[in-house]
Amino acid sequence: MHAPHPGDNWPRLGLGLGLRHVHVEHILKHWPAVDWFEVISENFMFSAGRPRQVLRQVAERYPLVMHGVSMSIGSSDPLDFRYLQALKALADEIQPKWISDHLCWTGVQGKHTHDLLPLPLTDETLQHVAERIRIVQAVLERPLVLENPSSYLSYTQSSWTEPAFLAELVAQTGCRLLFDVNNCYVSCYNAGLDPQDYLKTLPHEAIVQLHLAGHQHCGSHIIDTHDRPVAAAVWQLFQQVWRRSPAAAILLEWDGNIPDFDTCLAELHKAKGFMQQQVNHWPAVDMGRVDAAEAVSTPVDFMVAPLMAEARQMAMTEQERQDA
Amino acid sequence: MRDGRADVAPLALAQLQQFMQSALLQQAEGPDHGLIERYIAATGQLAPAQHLAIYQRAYFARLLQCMQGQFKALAHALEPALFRDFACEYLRAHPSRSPTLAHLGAGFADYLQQNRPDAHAAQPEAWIDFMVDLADFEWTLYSLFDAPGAEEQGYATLAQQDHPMLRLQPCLALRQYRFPVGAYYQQVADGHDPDFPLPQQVQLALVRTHYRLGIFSLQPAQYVLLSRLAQADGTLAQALAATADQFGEAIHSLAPIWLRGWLQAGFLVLGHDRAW
Repeated sequence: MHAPHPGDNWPRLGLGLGLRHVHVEHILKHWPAVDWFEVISENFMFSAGRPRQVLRQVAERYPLVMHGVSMSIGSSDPLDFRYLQALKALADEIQPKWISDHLCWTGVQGKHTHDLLPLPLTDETLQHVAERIRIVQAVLERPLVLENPSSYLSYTQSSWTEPAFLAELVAQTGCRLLFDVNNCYVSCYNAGLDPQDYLKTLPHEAIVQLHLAGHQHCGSHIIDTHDRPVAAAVWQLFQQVWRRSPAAAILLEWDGNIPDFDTCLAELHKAKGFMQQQVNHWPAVDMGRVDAAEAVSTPVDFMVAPLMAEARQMAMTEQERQDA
Repeated sequence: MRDGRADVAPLALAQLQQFMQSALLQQAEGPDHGLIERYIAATGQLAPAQHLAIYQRAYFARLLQCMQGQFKALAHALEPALFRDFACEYLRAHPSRSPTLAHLGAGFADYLQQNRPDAHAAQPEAWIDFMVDLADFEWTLYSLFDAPGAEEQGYATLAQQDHPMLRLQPCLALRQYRFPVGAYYQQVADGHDPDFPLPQQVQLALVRTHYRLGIFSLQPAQYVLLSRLAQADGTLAQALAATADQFGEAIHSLAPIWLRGWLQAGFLVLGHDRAW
């Protein structure tokens, strides 16, 4: 058993942002005051081009955390050791403070859906995931940090609650948790559960990082869109969680309709008021704006490099330049 | 440990995941309603099929956004509905097998060629040739963006133009197209709405130098010379001799001028002697 050690010396990173393509130019030009960046591992693991070069520059100035979306820790496929080796190689290069991924599966039979699909929370799944976490941790030579995903369905065969499942994984493997406050709110709403019950079972002592993000309320369900400011109810939940995990690093994810860097930073810094318990007035009902048109959950297109602005038609010779 | 492997899943988990994945990837057939009720829990707000449908809607929408990002000029040329049809058919036929989305569109140009809407027509339709060429062009650019380059090794300089080990740098692709796809791409990138171009044979060098992508037009003889140089173990002198056989001896007087331009543009590096 690997009970979390309260004295573990995990760095207190403070308030961070997800590193996004659209902000790279701003960051490299201004080196803005932000405590740390979280990078999507898969954006850089397989890159031998500018993304990796940019990452090396950013790593010289800021603490980094690697956050993955394709480990597929709960898949019934065998673990992808080429993926894990590439992940390890990137970690060796940029020296992240930790490496995280999600409690989910992303595909089977060699395919990738590029979605964070929910797991049936059973004894069998627990044994399966725990064993794979141990293997991953041996390859990466560090504890894995696991995030609770946003989910839109639950399985009839599940016999564990998600926080209890996470607590047991922590106890069995020594992994740590990235608690996504927005995902908790979204998943609870979609499953008809109370986030307060979730928090009661959550192993707060194992949380090393918190995620914040915006969501879209569709009335019958909530979509985890990461495309707008954080909802008031999520801030409220964050304030409660922060009291129990005051050393956790805090990160804002903004992946769709991404505004300029300073707008993201301002949204992130709203967290300070909640951390200092200065915000005590909540809307009576926080339904947000109910949208008829459902946005894409967990958008991934922000991971595609905006190439079109990069490539230019070039003239080879002076004569060609003149002709042009 | 089960079945001798630590990470082998219990059968029930494998079956459930195959059901779920099939429900996402093969939506046209529709998952078995009995299995949906068996696996997925109802809530007070939604029935099991409605919960599953959230994932089903998101699967293609999410990947389609990525395809549009990787093929912006093609998406512009085809307009949203037609691009969506082609891209979704491609994704159905070739689900992603890579953990990174950067490989998502790798087979799209080949797929379009192999599934041409005019496959049974007496004459091929020009717009389909254009579509295939543009897809290949965009994917080639996209691949070069992240490919291993010569940024750390450094590029050959003008002072090395007579060096016997001059070779093409690794992040360079030579392409021939039936349409001026480079010019079309550039117009879309500049915010214009160009018409479909008329057919025109073009030869291009697509190059990443100092992490910047460049699109260079080539004359036919230049294209042949660079292609010969790209062949394994070929020297510039050998490539030049072979090109002269095809285009005449005048090439010898033009080549030094071309070479200077290519050196300045970062086309070349100094290769290494084979290690014996």
